[in-house]
Amino acid sequence: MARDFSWLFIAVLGAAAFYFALDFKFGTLANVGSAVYPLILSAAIVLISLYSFIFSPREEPMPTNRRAFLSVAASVAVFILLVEAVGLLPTVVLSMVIAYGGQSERRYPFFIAYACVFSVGVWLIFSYALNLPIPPFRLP
Amino acid sequence: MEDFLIGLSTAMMTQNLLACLAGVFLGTAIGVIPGIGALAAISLLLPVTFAMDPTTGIVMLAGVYYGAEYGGSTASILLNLPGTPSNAITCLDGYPMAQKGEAGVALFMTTIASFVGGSIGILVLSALTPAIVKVGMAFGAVEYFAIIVFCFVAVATIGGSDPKKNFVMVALGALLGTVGLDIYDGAERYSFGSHNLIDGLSLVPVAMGLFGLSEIIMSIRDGEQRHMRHKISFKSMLPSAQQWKRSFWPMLRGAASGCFFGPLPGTGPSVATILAYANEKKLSRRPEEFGKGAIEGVAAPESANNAAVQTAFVPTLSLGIPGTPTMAIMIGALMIHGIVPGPMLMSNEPQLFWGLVASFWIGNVLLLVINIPLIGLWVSFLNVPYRLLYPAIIILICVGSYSLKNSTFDVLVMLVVGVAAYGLRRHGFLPAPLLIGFVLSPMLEENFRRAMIMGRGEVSYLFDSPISIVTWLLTLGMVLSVLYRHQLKRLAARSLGDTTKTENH
Amino acid sequence: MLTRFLTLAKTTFVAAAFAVAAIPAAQAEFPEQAVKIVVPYKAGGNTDVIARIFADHLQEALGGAVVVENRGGGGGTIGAALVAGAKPDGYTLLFATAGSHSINPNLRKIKYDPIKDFQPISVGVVSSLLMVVHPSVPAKTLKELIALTSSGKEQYNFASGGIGTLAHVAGELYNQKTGSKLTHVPYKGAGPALNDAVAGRIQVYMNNIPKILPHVQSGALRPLALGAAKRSALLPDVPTTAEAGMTGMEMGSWFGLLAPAGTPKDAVDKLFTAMQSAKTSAKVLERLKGIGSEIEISDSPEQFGAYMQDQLKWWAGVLDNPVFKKKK
Repeated sequence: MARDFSWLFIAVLGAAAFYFALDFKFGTLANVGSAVYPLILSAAIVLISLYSFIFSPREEPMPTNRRAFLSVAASVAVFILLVEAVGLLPTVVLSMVIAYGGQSERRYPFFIAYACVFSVGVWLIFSYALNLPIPPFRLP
Repeated sequence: MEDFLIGLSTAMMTQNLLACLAGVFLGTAIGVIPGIGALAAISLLLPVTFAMDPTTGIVMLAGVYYGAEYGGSTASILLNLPGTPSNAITCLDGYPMAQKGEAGVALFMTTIASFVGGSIGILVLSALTPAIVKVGMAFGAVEYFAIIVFCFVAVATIGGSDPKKNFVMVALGALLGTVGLDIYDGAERYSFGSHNLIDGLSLVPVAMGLFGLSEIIMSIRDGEQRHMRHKISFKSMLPSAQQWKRSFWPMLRGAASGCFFGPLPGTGPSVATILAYANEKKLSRRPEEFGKGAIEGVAAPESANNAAVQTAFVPTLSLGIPGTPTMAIMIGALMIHGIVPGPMLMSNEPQLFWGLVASFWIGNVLLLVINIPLIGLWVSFLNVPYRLLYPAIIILICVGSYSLKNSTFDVLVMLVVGVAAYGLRRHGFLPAPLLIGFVLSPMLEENFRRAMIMGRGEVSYLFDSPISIVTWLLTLGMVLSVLYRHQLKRLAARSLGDTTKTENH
Repeated sequence: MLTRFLTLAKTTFVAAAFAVAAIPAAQAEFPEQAVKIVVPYKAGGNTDVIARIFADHLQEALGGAVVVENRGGGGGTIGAALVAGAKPDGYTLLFATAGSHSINPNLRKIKYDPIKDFQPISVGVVSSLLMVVHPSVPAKTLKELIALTSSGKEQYNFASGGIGTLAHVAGELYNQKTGSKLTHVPYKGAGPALNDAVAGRIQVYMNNIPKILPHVQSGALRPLALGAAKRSALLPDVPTTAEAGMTGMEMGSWFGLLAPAGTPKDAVDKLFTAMQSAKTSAKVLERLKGIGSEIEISDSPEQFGAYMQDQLKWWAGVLDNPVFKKKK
């Protein structure tokens, strides 16, 4: 019988949470420790997902769009890595261009121009008007 | 009444009127930007009010707050990008409505429900503040624990696609909610030595990743089918007579839920909206439409949220105790202006208190006037090609998460949650139960443990107050009614001679 | 359409932010550019409010822009670590507290040395411990409360905003000194703790003055003693703990301005003089009074440094107690 491995994945997550929770304090009934609640939750997760892994039939997952997934994740990752290092404007343009790669249209010159205008708008709203402390540019 | 007239004359002063207008306008504008909500809007605009007269400054900040609550639901409904738990609930049916081409109707109903809920909230606030303070005092750990259990049971018994999946998602959300420094014994749970995790995970990046980022990844795939032109004529956004009829009672019931839970510092708008939604689904004759674009599922939580937002000012102003992080900032704003919120505020500063209440009325009318014409503009965003829209949304939710603590850590949280949520959603797990677990379960644990400390370990202490006993009885009633319903179904099935159905559970 | 919306939003924001943005440029000497004060807590909290009152004053006294930046998290340790590693030029300062520099360094591993990594400027506010009881408690004085709790008859609760906070430490110290068994009930922050104190579920509450003051004034809570060397002008009728018959309870929270270690003396002196001038500013005094605080400026940066070391040591002493330590 085909199994739904997402259940197994969740069971592993739950087991890890259970393992780490063993390190927390157990306390007493008059001062319940921090371990009790996470232990109950993670144990329930492990039991239910193992049960479902074994007894539930496999459901066909929705198809993945690998390109969309990778480009969106990369776009956010680039934002995290660069925003404080090189400043807001170049980061926003680069992140947007990477995100744009997630679909099939390829009008890069137009899109880059659009991203530049958008990045200036983001800077004006967040940094200039709302005092968010990110400089527009920063030399590495 | 006399006090209220003093307040009205204060609120009608030119500078305060302008401040109110500026506040609600800025609030709507900021609230509408995905990734940045009332909390961020107020903390970012706090310094601007520093130079103003106290009443004017507070009127403006309050306007920003409820303006952002109005605006916040817009992005949620159009793009599935909720910034608060309340918005996440509105998304459940608002986003499907938008996908069906009813974005204008959904936003119109949101605006009306917000106005109705807000107005009822203000009425309650102006008439009953002293009484509400007394009621609020009666709620301690025992009562809150009972209420949160009630809330969980209410959510659980509305049923869903796959109970096992929903339960696991709630539990995962609850586990995420335990991250950070434990207030009871100082253990750092799942923080792995990171200073960024000591305070736990923030709601905004979790909600943005869970709904927003995963939604974007899934939507790019069907980008080609998204060519539906959204009508933006005024007529197309008016709900039908049938939709008005279906929304009338849900709106009022939502407002009641908001007025009850809003002023309790331990529950606030999130519990109010979750219960309002659960309640409507239970009462509805078409529960199967919920989650697929039922208009009651938009009207009730939205009305509850805004009623709660207004009544949440009761503990904030009259006790100096904030029910939400946003309210904590409002208290800071008052204190910066040298006004100490507390039991003396109403008698010491009547013109401020009543002026603020009167400005709420004015602000709500202004919001109605501003928002209805803007609906067309917002809906027209959906006609922007998605390939241009989504890279911009990614940037906005990144910057929005960053702005919470001025750190990239929350953006990282958003990314990790978003990637995980995408994987889970592909396998048929729903994000909403996870968020409900994340929001409600910390309250459950916190109040249970506090009740056990106060009761010195006696479990009977949990049933030691009339409010908790009543709440437990209601919970029991709800469970029994569900069991009873099953039995009824089984009886009906048996009488039909259909024996195969009863084998399943 | 998107850009049209942005233009609309942009003009609105620019108009709104004009008041803060249009600050006149500075002179040739320090400060040549905007001075940034990092508040290691959330916007709108007690520390933030105090910091903004001082920032507003420094802006006038220095004649240059002073901006407040909130970097909350980790009980004040994230913002503090950030400033510890900042360029020591006097343009990045920290509004430090007892939490970031006296308490948390004794409770957990932090990424900075609270003494060596910083150049002290001056303390701004010291907020002493106020001991209050709910009116349902029969004790009218501290002596009566001690008699009541040390008899072992009453099972009172005391509240705090978390492990190792001022309120928690004060309560445990009270238990040790008087042989009482008050039960500690922790809350997520001082707000909800105060709520239950006003409602009477918490009978004894000890914390710094600001948030309690309005409830004392309204009569919702009864003040017994102030844990300070001398009485406070905010509550002149409340005796000090020593006057009320209990020693060693003098404690409180401090809030002060620090720069990264290595900041030029010229900048430190200018900043110190600017802080000193706050003592005579009616505006600062009135604003602080409004939030239940009193100004306290160090005699010199060196004296503030010595004070910080004393505080760190004092907290190390009281926190060296199994009640506050984690198991691991």
